[in-house]
Amino acid sequence: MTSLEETLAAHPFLTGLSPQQLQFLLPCASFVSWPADQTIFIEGEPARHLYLLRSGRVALSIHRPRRGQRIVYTLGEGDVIGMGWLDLPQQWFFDARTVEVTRAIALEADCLARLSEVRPELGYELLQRFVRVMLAKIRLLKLQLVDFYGS
Amino acid sequence: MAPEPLTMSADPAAAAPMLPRPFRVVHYRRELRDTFTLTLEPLAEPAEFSFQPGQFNMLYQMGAGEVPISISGDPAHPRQLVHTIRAVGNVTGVLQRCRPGDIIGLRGPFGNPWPLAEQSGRDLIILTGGLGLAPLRPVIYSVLANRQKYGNVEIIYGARSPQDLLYRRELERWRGRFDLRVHITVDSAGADWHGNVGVVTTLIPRTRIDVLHAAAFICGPGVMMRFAVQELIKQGLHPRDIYVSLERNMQCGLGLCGHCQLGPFFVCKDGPVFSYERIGPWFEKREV
Repeated sequence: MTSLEETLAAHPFLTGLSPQQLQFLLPCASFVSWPADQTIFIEGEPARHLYLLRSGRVALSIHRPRRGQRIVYTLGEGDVIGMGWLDLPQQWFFDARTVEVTRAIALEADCLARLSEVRPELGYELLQRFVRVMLAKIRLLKLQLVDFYGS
Repeated sequence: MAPEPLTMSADPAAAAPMLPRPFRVVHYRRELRDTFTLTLEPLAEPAEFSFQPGQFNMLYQMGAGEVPISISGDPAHPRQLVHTIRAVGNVTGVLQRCRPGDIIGLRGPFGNPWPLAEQSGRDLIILTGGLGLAPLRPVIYSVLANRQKYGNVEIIYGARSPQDLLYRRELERWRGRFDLRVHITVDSAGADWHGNVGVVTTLIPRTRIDVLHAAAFICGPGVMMRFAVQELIKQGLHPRDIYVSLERNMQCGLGLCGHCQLGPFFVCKDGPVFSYERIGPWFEKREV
């Protein structure tokens, strides 16, 4: 079985971190998995984890009163979900549900925040990576707004 | 020396390329809310209509006008000519009202094809969105008919919603094959959708191709193609291995009238299929 440390090192979000930095992250990390069609989090609930997806697929959706769920994005292997804790009020702003059996590494948000305080170099490194993920998402969401297939 | 006698070509399209030939509508199929497919057969000899994947015809409706429409049928079945059309204007609106038995005019085939023959032994990405699947369907038919000639073949298709997926039954059939990987995504979907949601470019990194021995054929709206090309290049594909099919105001189909001019090219004659290496500088230019 692959160790947690090896799995952390192999995830695209953490690629390039030094072995020492990965060691620092280990106490914050744990393996998680969900069956298909399982809620991971719900909009408005406290956001306490960052998830690094290893396999499977997760749908992010918005609940519309009387009209049900609308899926706005799906994520899979190598993707990152759960950055709601980075900003106040530290709540999820989407619902997340698995589409298929999904495996991930959960990183505890409070642990990451504490680690960033005591190891600012690692905190800065992680923050740069969050920014990259968010920029990529913003770009893709912009494309979804321009009627990509009908123009 | 006596002048050579004038001879009539056996191919009416070559002999009189500006003259529409009469075709009978033999089948009408509603695909989506605004999209339909017409199957046509020639009224007169020759009974077969050979074409290559990527070529287009000018469809003519008396009193309404002419429109360029890509051929979306199987090149191995030249007796029936298939066109999938989105009703967006006057002529396509009239064509939408055609039913079996109606006669329409047709000129073609025009334009150059997708360079399939050159891809023998290589991996292939067929990337498309919206109605762009129609001009690429003949490629898919040809690839599947000669599957052993190619390496990994990946189809990436995007649409606005699950309800906007063109040729849904065929997509499901293709997806069930072991020798083909089909990736489908939509912009948004209800909770009953179990596929991907997001733009097509997000699926490119999931393909299993050897970028040094692969080609990509892209057809879809301009903005989709632009970002798809960027992502493919980012993944390592060379611009000469990326082919795009352009849509312009094609009128004569012969490169004479100039309506479809794009820089030094006439899209109807030099295209509609171009390698990105060739068309790139013009592809990115605004207001050309």
